[in-house]
Amino acid sequence: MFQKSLLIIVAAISLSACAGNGAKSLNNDPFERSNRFMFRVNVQLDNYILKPVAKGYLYVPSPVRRSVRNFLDNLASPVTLVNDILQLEGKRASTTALRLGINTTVGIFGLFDPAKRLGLEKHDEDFGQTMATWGVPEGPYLFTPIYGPSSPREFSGWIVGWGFDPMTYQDDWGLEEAIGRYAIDGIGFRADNISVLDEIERSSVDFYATVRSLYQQNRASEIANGVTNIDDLPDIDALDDLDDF
Amino acid sequence: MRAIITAFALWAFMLTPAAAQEADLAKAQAFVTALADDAIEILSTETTRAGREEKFGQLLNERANMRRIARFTLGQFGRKISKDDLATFEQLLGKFIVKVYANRLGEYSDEKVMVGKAQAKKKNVIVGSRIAFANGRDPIDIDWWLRVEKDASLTLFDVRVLGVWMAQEQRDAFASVLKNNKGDINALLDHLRKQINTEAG
Repeated sequence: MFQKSLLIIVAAISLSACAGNGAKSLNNDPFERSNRFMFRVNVQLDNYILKPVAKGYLYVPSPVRRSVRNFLDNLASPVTLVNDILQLEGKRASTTALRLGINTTVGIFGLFDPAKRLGLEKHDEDFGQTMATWGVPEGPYLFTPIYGPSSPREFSGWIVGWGFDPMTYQDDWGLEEAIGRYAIDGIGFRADNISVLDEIERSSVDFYATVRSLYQQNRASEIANGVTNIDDLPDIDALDDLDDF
Repeated sequence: MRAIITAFALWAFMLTPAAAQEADLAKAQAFVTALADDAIEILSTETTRAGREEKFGQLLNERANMRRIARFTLGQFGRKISKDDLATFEQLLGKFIVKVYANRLGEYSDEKVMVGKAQAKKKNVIVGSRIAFANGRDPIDIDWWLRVEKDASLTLFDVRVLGVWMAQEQRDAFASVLKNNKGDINALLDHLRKQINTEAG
């Protein structure tokens, strides 16, 4: 299993490096044709499986769903903590450590989020983001089955993240439990965003391109920890020369 | 004495740009506060969809430079189209934005927008803000990208919600439509008309 994971990581990083050397295509999407195919497959999977299940999940009382979300977020905290440290983000690491300690104890194994009421806001980090801060190239945009929009850097970071997760090393934590955890996480996310995603699909001139843009922009924002830097804006001065504004 | 005057002149020279920039930032924050207040006023007083869209259309035309937004969302294709097509695109884009965002913002009628820090560089100003929800939902951070016009007035260029710039999102989608239709602007115009009609339905 470990060897297989390592092989995927090496392949993904190699692909990333190759893409980084060549000229970038529009939206960094040289595999657009196959990505669009996978996107259509995922849309069908979503329509026939994930969305109906997510709609059913909405019948679960809201406080219960909130506790499930809190529990899964708390379970993911060690991975966030390791990545905070690897990114040398001391303040964010201490926030994550305090959240983990408070929510696991006072919050009853993470079912509640008393840390938030103390001003300790949740944030997410993963090894894909850590690699980005280290300067590892993103690689081409990939739309993967089930996992959805990604890139070699993010996908390999997700796999490495398993190694940071204490649950991986529990004797009674096998593949079924891991799949169940990601499935509940995905269903919860889909349920929370049913109306938003429906609205985006309905109002998009090209749903695939819109999802790609949302993913790429959101991912860049996550890597920057949500900080907006005016130096990162695209240069639009030339537009003023085209016409008399 | 000369040294004192020289020092004072240098101090005044160094201070003026900073003070001027501070005033510009305050002006930008006031622009966003007024814009957010006006938008919330529309959402809370206009109960019909048609009324909201009309008022939003007026607000957009008054506070945003639609020509610049149109040029930007067309990307490199904007350089290749005729003035007539650009004018048609600009008009349809305005309608499209109003239809889409008047609906998306429908749920924010009784929320509070708190305007935060501003940063400026050349003709660009970004003003941060946060929407706080009365129902306990997590607050949302919104950035407003403003441009300083030739007459020193400010106009809205783009809005960033949850890390996503809206005009950039539309530019990516439009570029994809144009690329997949060999750069034919009529294909994009048809897509926009179709979306506007869908939203109207």
